[in-house]
Amino acid sequence: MGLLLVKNGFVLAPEPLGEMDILAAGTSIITVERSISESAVKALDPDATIVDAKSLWVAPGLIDSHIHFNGAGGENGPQFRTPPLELSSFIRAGITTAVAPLGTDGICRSLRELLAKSRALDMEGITAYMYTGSYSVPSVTITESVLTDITLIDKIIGTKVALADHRSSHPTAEELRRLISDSRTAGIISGKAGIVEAHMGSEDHGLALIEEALKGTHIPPAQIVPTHVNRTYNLFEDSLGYCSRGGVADITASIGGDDAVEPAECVERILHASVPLANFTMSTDGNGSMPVFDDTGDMVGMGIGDPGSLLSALKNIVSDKRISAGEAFSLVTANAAKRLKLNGKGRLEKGCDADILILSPSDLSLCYVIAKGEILMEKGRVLRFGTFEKPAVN
Amino acid sequence: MNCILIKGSDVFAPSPIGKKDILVLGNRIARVDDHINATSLEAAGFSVNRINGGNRIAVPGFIDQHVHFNGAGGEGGPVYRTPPLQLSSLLEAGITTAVGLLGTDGSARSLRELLMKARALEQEGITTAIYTGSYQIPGPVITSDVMSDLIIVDKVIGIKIAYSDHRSSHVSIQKVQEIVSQSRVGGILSGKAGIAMVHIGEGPSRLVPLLKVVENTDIPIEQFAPTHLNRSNQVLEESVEFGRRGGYVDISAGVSKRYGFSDAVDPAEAVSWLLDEGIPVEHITMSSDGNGVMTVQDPVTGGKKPLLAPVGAMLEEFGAMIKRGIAVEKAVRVVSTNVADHLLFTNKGRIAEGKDADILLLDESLSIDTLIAGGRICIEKGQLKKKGMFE
Repeated sequence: MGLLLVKNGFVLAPEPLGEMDILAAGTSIITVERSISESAVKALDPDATIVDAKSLWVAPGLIDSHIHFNGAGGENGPQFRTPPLELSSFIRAGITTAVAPLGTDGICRSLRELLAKSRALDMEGITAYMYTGSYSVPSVTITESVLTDITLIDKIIGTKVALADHRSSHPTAEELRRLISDSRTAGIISGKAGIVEAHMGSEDHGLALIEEALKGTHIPPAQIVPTHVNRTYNLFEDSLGYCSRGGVADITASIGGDDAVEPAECVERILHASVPLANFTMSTDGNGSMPVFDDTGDMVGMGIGDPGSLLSALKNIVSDKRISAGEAFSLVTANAAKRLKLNGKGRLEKGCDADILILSPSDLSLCYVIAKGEILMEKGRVLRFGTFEKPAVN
Repeated sequence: MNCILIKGSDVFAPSPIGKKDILVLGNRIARVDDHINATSLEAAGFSVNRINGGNRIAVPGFIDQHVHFNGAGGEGGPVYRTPPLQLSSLLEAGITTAVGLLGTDGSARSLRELLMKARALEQEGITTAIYTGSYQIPGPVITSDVMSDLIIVDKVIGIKIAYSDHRSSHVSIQKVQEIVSQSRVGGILSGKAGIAMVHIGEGPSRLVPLLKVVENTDIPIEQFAPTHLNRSNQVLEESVEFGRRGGYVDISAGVSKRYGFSDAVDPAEAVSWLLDEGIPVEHITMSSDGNGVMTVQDPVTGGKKPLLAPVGAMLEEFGAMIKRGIAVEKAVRVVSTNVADHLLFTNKGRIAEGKDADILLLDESLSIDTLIAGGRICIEKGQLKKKGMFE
């Protein structure tokens, strides 16, 4: 079992620790110290890998809490169904933990397919989880209910639903309350987060519906995570109010359109509204189809969510310098791990999983991607590909 | 993060590799070498937990592929239902990997309960898996069918069925073929063994149905793990034929005369006998049937009497095998390595670099001195260091 020593990098744990050495064995981080002797490590394991990260940043692997890794879309017909993502797209995006929902199509898209894909990605080298449900209410499930899916199936950590969207089921507050309750209870029983990942559309009063559902209950507001809240200025302003009252929300890095709020601008507005940054996470919506509809509801264009959007949004946030690099990384590491209850993820410290990025401080370009102790990218070159991926293009 | 250095124990990996140091980092074995320097470990930033392995043998943790850890029994009525096992009883038996299953009762006993118990034991410190099904064909499932259970539920690695037993479903061989096919294909699709753990009873057909399935189909004989084969002389004799054809034969450690099973061939003796008959040691396994119970008539009082297979019998029979003159290497294979190979537990059953840190140190009397499961010390100097949540 090889040892891996990352030396001299500036460690963002995600909080900045300064220049530190990180020693990993197997899948875990053994220790993070000011100085770990290279010769001692070599004495212990002559084949140990030593990576010099001098003048580079060392950060936890990114956690993408919303990425359609088995494909999504299908609006306007089957030719718009996006294909599954291959391993290298995660590596190039610095994503070492991915959580997938279904999207609009809960009929032909299969949760069982998604489960098998999660397991495959796990075996190929990253860490993958999923949500049960899709846009619709009642939720599609693998077993007989949301409750049993989360309780019985290791990979399922919560439930997906869509609200305030013309493609949603337009559930009532009562239906939503029931869904959050089931997801929460199953999470409690299985020791998982049991969160409801709520796709927010641009209809009015979406967040008011959530508040109505939670009203009068003892369910903590963080049990439901509205995402795509930067879809429009109105929705984002609403979400600032919602989060100032204790709610949490998720920013979509890949969001486009004239009315969308860019992630860096989201941060500026969060600061301006004095809402705690810890109430926010950021995800890609990667591989989701991004249909553009006109005023009459007809689809007039099609885009696709880019997994790389997480890193590029991070780059913009960092270069804006409104928050520290550590705070910026928290959005997609420690905050996300806490929200999703993924112990051992999102931090660089003793005992955590060895999911490590080494990147350039100037433009956040990736030099190394390490997942579960294995080097998947070395000096910018992808080393590991999916089972059926052609490693020709690099 | 754990760092454990075991110095100078006599290592059976299972093959005897002599006195070695074993370094455990996290949940894995990092190195096995003549001399591993603790000082350089400390210089590299580890805080080292040193264990003196002198006068100890180090063997891989036992893998019990048949243990009723969430309870079994119920024959004779609900008072004969055995309660769930606590972590300590498995640890004290040297078991670091346990595969749970249902028994006769597939109606009131629940696979979902079993699944949650397996997850709990795993969180408490050992490795677990389960079989879907019970004695019955078709039996209970967690999802919709056997194949889906294997593919969807991580912990399900195969199916339990019973045959040649008055408590079985007495279905045709065709039905056995169908259900075993589901388990096999579920295993192929999920990357698991998909084996059929077959309770073999005292019925006259014994192992014949399994051999017929193998003759009728392309299902390999290794798809089966027939067990309780030491329940009587007759069954053990027939298992020789099964073993000669390349099948695995499983002996129940908890089924012996000392625990009241009067027809049984004592487990260690049964292993000797199979070896003498020329069955390759690689295909002989032992499981405890621990916490399983058979209710019989008490010859003295005429009333009902439960016979309980204790989980601790694994360790007793390991000692008994060695006392009978079976080589330590062979005994280790029977309780650990062979089981790992059969169940496709690729990181289990061996003391070697990269394998899971499931290690037993046994003293001269073959009692447990130290038990490490998943890189954590659970027994130290004979003292239990870990217990279940509600023990």
